[in-house]
Amino acid sequence: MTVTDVFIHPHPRGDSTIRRMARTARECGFDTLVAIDQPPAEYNGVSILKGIIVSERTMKAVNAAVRKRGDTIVGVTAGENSFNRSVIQTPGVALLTGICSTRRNAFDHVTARFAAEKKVAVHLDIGMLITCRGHTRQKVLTRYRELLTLQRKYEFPFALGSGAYSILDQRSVREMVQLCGLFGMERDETLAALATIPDLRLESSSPRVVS
Amino acid sequence: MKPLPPTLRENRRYVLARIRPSTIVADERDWHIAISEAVSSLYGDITAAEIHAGTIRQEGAYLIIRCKRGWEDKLSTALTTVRAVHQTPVHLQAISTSGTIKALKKKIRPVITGDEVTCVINGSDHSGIYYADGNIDLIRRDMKGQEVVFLTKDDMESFHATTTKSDGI
Repeated sequence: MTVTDVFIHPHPRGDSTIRRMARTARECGFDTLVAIDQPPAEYNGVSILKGIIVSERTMKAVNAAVRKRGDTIVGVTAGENSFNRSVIQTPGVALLTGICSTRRNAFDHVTARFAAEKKVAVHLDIGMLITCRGHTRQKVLTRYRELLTLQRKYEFPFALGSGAYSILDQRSVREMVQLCGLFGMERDETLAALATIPDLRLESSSPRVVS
Repeated sequence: MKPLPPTLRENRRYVLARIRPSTIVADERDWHIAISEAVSSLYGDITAAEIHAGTIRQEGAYLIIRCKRGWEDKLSTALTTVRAVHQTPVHLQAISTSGTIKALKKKIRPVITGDEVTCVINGSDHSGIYYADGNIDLIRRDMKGQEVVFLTKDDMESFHATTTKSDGI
């Protein structure tokens, strides 16, 4: 089973090179990393997949990123509800990220059903639970718990990531399970979320027939 | 004062945690403050008092932390949220839990030691530590302070490391 850490930020964004992060990932029990702006490669038995995050909350930017994607895993930062629905229905988008920073109604039951149909994963940045303190962390935990409730009902995929900028931010699979337990995610659910990426890649690369 | 009889004493568990990077300089008191802050921040003061975490000893790159029996999972989770000691970034990884310190000591592995190296990257001097497994921790010092860059031996080419003043790289 593939165990993937989604969206890490190696040097020059962070303070650790991709090779060093791959070594650490191996020690932590991961076999795949989705790294921002890094070419696909393999180091120490860890596959590196290229990922991008589209932060501009416009469909123009999303469509441009999808057209140029190639083998890249495209993640889009979540925005208003209507924007999120449009993003989910855009072929080529694999992940919706940053939902904890949006309003509560930005991801509702309708959006959840769309995400399940289109096999677009919701990215949970577990690093937020480590870096944030106080009110911000409480808000993140609340949002993740709400998303988990929707996920259990509509069964859209989750994707987990440490959001690491350094090898000191990377967490092991066991630690991921413990941290996800903070908002009620069971061990099996966490392991399934860590194995989401191969399914997403198959889904986004499948030919689309236009009649 | 007469000590409590064994049957009335609190049952304890001990958690072994690995410190990364292993070169960090901090004493047991510093660790205790960092862990207490992480526990009370995550679970609140009431649960923190229940957990009753305390740093027992530091052995090389490992730390043994005490807690009340039944709360070791919560302590391990809180340990993952420790980010810094003395504002220096750090990662504490819980390795194992046991009822005795002796059992945990058996799980302590020898630390991979490194040699101090100095190299020139893009015309500026960098000092750092080169480990036997090929990892390099480079320390970049400038007016703003110091910053550590974690890389491997293979990365040195892409960093245009032109000269080395020590053996190894």
